[in-house]
Amino acid sequence: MGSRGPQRGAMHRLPVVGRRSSPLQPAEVHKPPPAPKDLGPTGRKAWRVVLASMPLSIPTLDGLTVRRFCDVLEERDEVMAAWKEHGPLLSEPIVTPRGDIAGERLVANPAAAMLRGLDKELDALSDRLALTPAARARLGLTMTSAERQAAEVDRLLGAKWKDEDE
Amino acid sequence: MTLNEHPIVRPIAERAAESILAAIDHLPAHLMFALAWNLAEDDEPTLAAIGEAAAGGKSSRLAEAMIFAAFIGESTPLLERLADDTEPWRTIHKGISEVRSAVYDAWPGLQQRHERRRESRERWKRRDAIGSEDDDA
Repeated sequence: MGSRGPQRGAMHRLPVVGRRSSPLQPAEVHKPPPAPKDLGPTGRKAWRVVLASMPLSIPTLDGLTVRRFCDVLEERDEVMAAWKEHGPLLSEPIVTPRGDIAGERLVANPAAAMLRGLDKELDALSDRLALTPAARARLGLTMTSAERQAAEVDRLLGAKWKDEDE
Repeated sequence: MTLNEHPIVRPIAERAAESILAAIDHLPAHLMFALAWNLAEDDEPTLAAIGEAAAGGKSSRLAEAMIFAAFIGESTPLLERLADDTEPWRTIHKGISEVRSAVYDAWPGLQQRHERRRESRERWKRRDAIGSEDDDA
């Protein structure tokens, strides 16, 4: 024995960490309540997905926030369609004081600013509804596989000795 | 015949070593890696041998380490402290215990010698403790 630590050149025999499947459990899925009838296809799909998988959701309480999320998503769809149709730059006529059109100039499509605003609103709502991994982690709803593995290792190594108080 | 060549003790130790390595190998990869490394770093020679064997896959060296530890009386204090309620500690505990029993069966009188030595050590420890209390007073 003598030396401490694994034998030289022996560690390559150990399997690669993380070779096995992740111990993370899939998110729990519940049956969502029916979507409001006035929502469009995008909104209805979002309603279904969010309320089916949202962690710790109470549809009666969270319905209003989810409805806002769906509305913003639908609005974004419309603005995005306009942005796609016209592109990032629009031609604007240059009008003289007399009312004649002297030429054209390019201006930024206002849909771009609207999209940024809607995205910001969606991000805030996603955060409140714990729809992003970071938001879920902040709520303590998930544990990364690295954290889980570290906890398992601690538990295994901590169980090495008998409790001396026994 | 050397200590490691005993015809009864050696096969028992080999089997115990293989079952210990199998119990460690059965763990998920990240636990196996961490356990092998942690044990290989342990101050307890038998546990260090388990760690080295888990990393290097040499059960014969582990068998020899367990026979030696049992022969010099190291196994008993280790078994008293080592957990035996969860895996892989249960298998490790059982393996070391089996080797110790085989060694004591093979060398009659060895267990009594170890027990006498331990009792003597305990007495000296108690005397030292009383002595240090008197000094403090």
